Amino acid sequence: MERGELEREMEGLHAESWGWALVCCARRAGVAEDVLQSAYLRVLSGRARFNGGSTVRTWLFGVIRLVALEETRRGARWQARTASVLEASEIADPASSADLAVLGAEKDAVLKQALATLSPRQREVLQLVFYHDMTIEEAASVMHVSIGSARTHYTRGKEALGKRLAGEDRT
Amino acid sequence: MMQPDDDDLRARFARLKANDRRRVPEFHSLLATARARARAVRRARTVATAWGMAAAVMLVALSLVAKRTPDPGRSSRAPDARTAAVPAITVWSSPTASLLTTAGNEITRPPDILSSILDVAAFPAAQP
Repeated sequence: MERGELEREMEGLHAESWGWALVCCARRAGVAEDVLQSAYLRVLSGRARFNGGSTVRTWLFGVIRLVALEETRRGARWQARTASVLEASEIADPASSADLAVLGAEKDAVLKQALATLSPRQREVLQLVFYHDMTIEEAASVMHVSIGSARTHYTRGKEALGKRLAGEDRT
Repeated sequence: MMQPDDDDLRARFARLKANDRRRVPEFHSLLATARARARAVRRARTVATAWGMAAAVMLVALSLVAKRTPDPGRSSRAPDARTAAVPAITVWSSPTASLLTTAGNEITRPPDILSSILDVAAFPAAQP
């Protein structure tokens, strides 16, 4: 695929990529932007090559996830992802409180908090399936895990998320 | 209350998605920022490499200059420690030389080189 064509594809998938980058970065908008920039550069410079083995979206999501993982390993910037996930989700999204007041998006906040309590893999597979409408097979490809493993994460994650949401709704 | 089913989850995620879409950074400006960042990183790397190479060249040049410059104190330099530890042959004496020093030893001592027995005879005559 040529560079111009790739750029057009990326532009078309940009909003989706943004949503995915947010999840990969514990919903920290600043870090997600950095990750997206690095991922796009990697694609356009040819350091990440599309070999046609999957859809462009699946491949691009895989690149974004890898870049986000590298950033995480590089440390320091968002260690809070594992240390204090709930706290991170509150700090991460400064627009949340405004959104809550203006848009009445309480359910968003509930969902974000419930997602933040899941393991990263569970969070990723649920996001890919419910947010990006991917199949579990596609999600497995993005996450570089086997289909069986993705299915396990999906089942357990959905169960845990359901319990959390049910608990939140009751309160 | 029952756990939310798939449709409820989809609805919740769809709301989250709609909310996220309000804050999507503009694609072209994001790409421009990324390119500028890459350029800055490249430039910084080039400058660092240039400084590194300059420092290496300076080090090599300095070491070459230091090697080629003759040392003015070299010829008058004192002998090294090993040489200094060896005594000159003219002052050397055997470690057992002290055992040869006995009473009356001067009688049996050989005359000095280039001396004569007449020297001994001449001196008493010269005395008053």
